[in-house]
Parts: sequence; structure tokens; C-alpha cells
Amino acid sequence: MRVLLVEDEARIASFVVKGLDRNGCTVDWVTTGAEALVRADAGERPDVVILDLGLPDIDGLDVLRALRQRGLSTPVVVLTARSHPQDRSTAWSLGVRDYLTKPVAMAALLERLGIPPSPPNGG
Amino acid sequence: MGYRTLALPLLLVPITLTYLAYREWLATIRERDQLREMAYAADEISASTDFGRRVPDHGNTDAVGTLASTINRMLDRVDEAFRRERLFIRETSHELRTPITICRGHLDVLGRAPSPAELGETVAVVTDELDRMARLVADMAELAHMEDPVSLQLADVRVDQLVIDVAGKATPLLEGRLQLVAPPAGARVRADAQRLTQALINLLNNAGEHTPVESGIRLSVTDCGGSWRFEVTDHGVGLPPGDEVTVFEPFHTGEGSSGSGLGLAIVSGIARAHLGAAGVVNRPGDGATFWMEIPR
Repeated sequence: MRVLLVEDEARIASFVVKGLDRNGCTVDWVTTGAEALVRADAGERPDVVILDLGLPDIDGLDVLRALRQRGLSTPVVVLTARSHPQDRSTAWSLGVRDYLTKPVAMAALLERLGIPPSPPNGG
Repeated sequence: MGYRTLALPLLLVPITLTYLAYREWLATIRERDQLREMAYAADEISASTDFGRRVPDHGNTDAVGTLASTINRMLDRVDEAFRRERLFIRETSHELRTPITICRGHLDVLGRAPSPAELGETVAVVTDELDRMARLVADMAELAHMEDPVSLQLADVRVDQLVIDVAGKATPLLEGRLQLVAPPAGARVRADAQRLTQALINLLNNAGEHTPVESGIRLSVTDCGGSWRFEVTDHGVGLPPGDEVTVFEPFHTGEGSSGSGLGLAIVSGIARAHLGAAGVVNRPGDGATFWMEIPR
């Protein structure tokens, strides 16, 4: 599975990349909304986008809107510290596959992505 | 003077008195109804905790009208306090989620038999994030103390000695960039020395975080008549225009800040607890002067 991870916090991205990589995913990581949109405009089509909402340049919900306006229906899983019902409601109305509030266990993230977790490989 | 001449004025007296009594009775009835209406609304507000509602205010200037507007002004303040509390809890929860996510995630992907290098890296990340949470919790407690002026340990403090001590503490943080303009020898202020020191350290830390390493930072104290004005001046990029007030609100963090987002809110709280004020003179592109005025 090819995953585009849009997350500005390096320490969060590092364990998400590690956990997904260990479970057979290929992860492309960008830190800004603008980079995510550049990838989309360049024709990159991941199987799923993991999207943070508190990005430094563009609000994650606006990134989501921009992706949808481009006609891209790539499944998006929101992974954010924002738990306000308004954010959830907007994200759902923009057709996200799931809305996960940090902190989230790696196993739960894999489950929501539809990836069966592999047993720990001893490091 | 005939009987008929006297009859009219004599008749007017009871009519006037009756009319006045009737008018007074009507006013009393109206006031009683308005008071009942207010009490009913106040009960409903109290039961529903909907502090956005107000008691009916008919705009009268009588005692009942004054009472209604006083109650509504009080409700404005209660509503604002609740709004700030809700915002604070939401922001705090948001700020804690990130370090918890990092700790949880890095432990999740550690595996059962990690290499020493991987283990060392995870321990370092988790420890650092726990430190971040500890700083946040300490700052939150500090901010809560600041809301209570009784928590101040007031004493007669020598201002010149205070800023020299602050400069001594800040020197390692600012790596020789600090220039101190000391107040006249013997200057004194009635204050909590520990809190004032903390506020000035916070201002100096803030300046250090937002200026290039080669740029100087100045700490000065000037006499403003009834108060002392402490200023920390830097020559960084300044604040984005419009941020001059919000920068003192909890969890307002600037570009490149590594703090909890409570440092300047604590400064403002310390100044207010001393019945003073804090603010900033912003020079976008050329730095800023953060100030704090403390009454003598």
C-alpha cells in the first residue's frame, strides 16, 4: 500500500513511517499542505492519504477541500490533535474515510487503514 | 368666597391624590412583574448554565432597570470567564496530545527486542517529550496561581539588585547577548521578587528564541512616575502585525518557538497580579520591545 503522510511534527511522522513500513507500506512523507497539493498536481496517486489538520502553511481541512476540488477521490484518514465537533463534521462532509484523534495506538491506525498488523519482528 | 368656589379645589385634592396613588400602584405592579420576570430568567440561566442568556432589561433608568443591567454586566463577565476556561481546557488538551502521541507511538513501534541504538533513541525521544509535558504542566499551575493575587509574597525589593540577578540567570541562556541598563542605585518596588524574576526571564527567553544569535538583547528599567517600567528589547523580526494583544494569550506560539505557549501569558498574569500591566511595542521587521509596568 502506498501512503502519503502529511504531518509537520517530525517525531510523529517518524514512528508512523516506521510502523507502516514494518507492515509492508511504502510511505511518502511531506510536512506541508502545499507539498501535498504539489504531489497531487504532479499526478501522484497514493492508495491513502494520512492528513494532519494543524499544518504550518494551510489548514488540513483546506488541503482536503483542495484535493476534492481537483476531483481526487483518494481515501483520506485524518490524524489530528483537533477534537472539536465542527472539525469532525467538516472532515466527514468532505468524505474522509476516518477521523482519528491523537493520541492513537499504532495498531488502531493500521486497523483503520485496513492493514493486518504483523507480529513484532524483534526490532 | 362662596361654597361653589371652594368646592372645585377641594375636589381636586382627593382626585389628584387618588391619581398619584393609582400611578404609584401601577408602577409598583410593573416593578414587581419585572422583578419576577428577572428572577425567573436568572433561575433558568442558573439551572441551564446558558450564560449567553441575559435577564430582561427594559432599558428603564429606575432601580429595577439598574438592577437588570448590573446583573447582565455580571453575566457578561461570568460568560467570558467560562469561555476562557473552555478555551484553556481545549488548548491544554490539544497541547498535551502531541507529546503523548509521540511517546505512545515510539513505544508502539519499538518491537520486542530492539537494538541498543533503537532503544537509546526511543528513550531519548520519550524523555524529551515527558520533559515537554512537565514544563507545560508547571506553566499551567503557574498561570493558575497568577489568577490569585493572594499568592504573591510581597516585599520591599531593590530593583537594581533584582535586574542584576536576572541578568546573571539569563546570561547562560542568551550566550553573552544581553545588555543591561540598570536603574538608579537604591530603586525599590513593592513586589514578589521571585515572580518578577520569572516574568523577566520569560521575556528574555522569548527574545532569545526569536532573534538571531548575533543580535543583542537589552534589558532596561526606567522610572515612570508611579511605577517602574521593565523593558526587553530585541532586534529580531518582530511580531506579525495584529498579534500585539493575542501574543499574551495562553498557547499563542510564534514561529520557531519551543516553549509551552504560556510564557507571555504568565508575564501578563504576574504584571496584573501586581496591579500593573504588560504589553509590547512592535516593530515588524526590526524586532520588538516587550514591557511590564509594576507600580511602586
